[in-house]
Amino acid sequence: MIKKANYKLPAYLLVLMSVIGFTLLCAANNWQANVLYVGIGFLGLFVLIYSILVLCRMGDKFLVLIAFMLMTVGVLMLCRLDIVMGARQIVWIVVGAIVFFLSYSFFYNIRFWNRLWLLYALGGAALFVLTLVFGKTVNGSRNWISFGSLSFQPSELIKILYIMFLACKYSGSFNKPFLKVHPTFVTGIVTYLYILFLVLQRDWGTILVVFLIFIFMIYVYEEKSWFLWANILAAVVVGILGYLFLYHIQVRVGVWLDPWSDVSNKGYQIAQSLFAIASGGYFGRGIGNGSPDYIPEVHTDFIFSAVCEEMGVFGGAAIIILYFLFAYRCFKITLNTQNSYNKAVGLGLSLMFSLQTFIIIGGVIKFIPLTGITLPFVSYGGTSIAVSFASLGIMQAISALEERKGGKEE
Amino acid sequence: MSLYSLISSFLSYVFTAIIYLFIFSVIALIYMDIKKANRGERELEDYESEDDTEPQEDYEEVKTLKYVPPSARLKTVKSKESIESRMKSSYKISEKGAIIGRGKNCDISISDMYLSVEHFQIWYDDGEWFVADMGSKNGTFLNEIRLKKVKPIHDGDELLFGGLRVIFEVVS
Repeated sequence: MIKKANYKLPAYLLVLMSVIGFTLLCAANNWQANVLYVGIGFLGLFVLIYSILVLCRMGDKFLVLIAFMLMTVGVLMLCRLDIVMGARQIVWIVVGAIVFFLSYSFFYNIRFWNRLWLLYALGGAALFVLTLVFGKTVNGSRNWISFGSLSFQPSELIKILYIMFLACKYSGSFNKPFLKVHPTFVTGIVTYLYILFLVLQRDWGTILVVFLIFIFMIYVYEEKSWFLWANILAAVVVGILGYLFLYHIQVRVGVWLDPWSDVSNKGYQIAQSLFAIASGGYFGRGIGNGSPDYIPEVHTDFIFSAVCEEMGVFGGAAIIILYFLFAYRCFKITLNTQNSYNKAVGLGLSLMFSLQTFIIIGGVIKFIPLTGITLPFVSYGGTSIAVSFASLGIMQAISALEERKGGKEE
Repeated sequence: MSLYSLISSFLSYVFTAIIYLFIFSVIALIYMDIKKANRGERELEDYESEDDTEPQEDYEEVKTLKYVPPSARLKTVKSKESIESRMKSSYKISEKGAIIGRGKNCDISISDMYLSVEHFQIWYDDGEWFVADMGSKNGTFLNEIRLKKVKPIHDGDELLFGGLRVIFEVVS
């Protein structure tokens, strides 16, 4: 007989980790009480969401657990960098939790998502146009829209719309020619249009994510293999042209090949990131002992380096393993789903999580050229957290739909 | 080195231990989940097979008295794969023949991910049964030989498609 499973153990470990972590941070900040409030808020939120999820049987239980473990590490790190930022991240997580339940119930209850492809394509394009007109330039990328003090990054939202659009095509719901153009070409045109907009915004990370999702979706679904090869060829040609004519890309690739020749200027960020990872050693220097402040953008893109410095290579590897588990669960849900539209959406979202993680972790450890993109659930940022939670909600809805349908058949 | 940084660097080991314990316990839970799901399906399968073989045979005995249209059946060879894709213990094929595949519109629809939507077909023509592959991705094997064109099929022949094994039996 199998030993009885202890379903509560991971949750207890998560709570233990946050209690120790926030107490430590509180000690580091001269026993200021607001660190503890942040911690209590975070734990309360976790207990609330997890118990709702288990009690209402909302599908897979592991995705939320893993996501919250990643968030624990992220929030601890952010509170250590700047307590104000940590507190704001908690606010974003509260917003994210609301978005999570909203997207879950929308996706669970509405059954005509597969017919709205035109809406997704146009919605994405409209968001792009809005960004170009009202956009604000931050760190060389024109990808922010702000309403007063509130600002958000439309390209994050566009990724979900784009995945839902592709899912319409590849689940077979969108199969009639539109304006006499075959659906395969419509998806191609929309993809390249989006990429053009993203080039205008100088948002290289999102280009990479969108294009790789496209390529993987074609690889999985498209019957005509020439379409896959044509797109890969186009990517290679565009990449070479970009390298020859765009200064930004030349800098990125140059820094990737050799950050040390211009270490005080262009290579500064990646060099500091590598120093931080190296100084962490196997078990890290301990939270509060490192000096991650030397790395520019440490709270968003480079948070992985800070984690590596203060929690060590083992801590960093643990983060990567957690993402692996997360991706494994996503793919598993996708494989088990019978509904073809849900399957395609699930595949797209699994790809989005895994590609985004690969691109940014690969970037900060100088494995691939660096492109700025957030680490899902760990990085600081309202839009990133909200969109990650929205995708998680959709994933959860897909698994719940499958589980309950299976229950009915039996 | 201050007291704080001493404690903090000690706690970094604790954090590492907790994270790995967490990962380990999640993996253990996922493993048990998969195992439990498989066991549940096996119980379901046993229940189903007891349910539909016995009345079927009674029914056929009554039928032999009247005119018997030619019919055949595919008997599932029990395996891990057949249990996972919830196959019945046998499938009836009437004289009109049957298309076997993953698609919902097939005469015999089996939801196994290694099957094509329309995998292969069996039909009756002038006293003989025939089998042909319908351009499936993973192929259909008749007595371990891959089907390339239409082949006659006889009582007791074995068909293998996408990891699933069935015995063809003519009912008479």
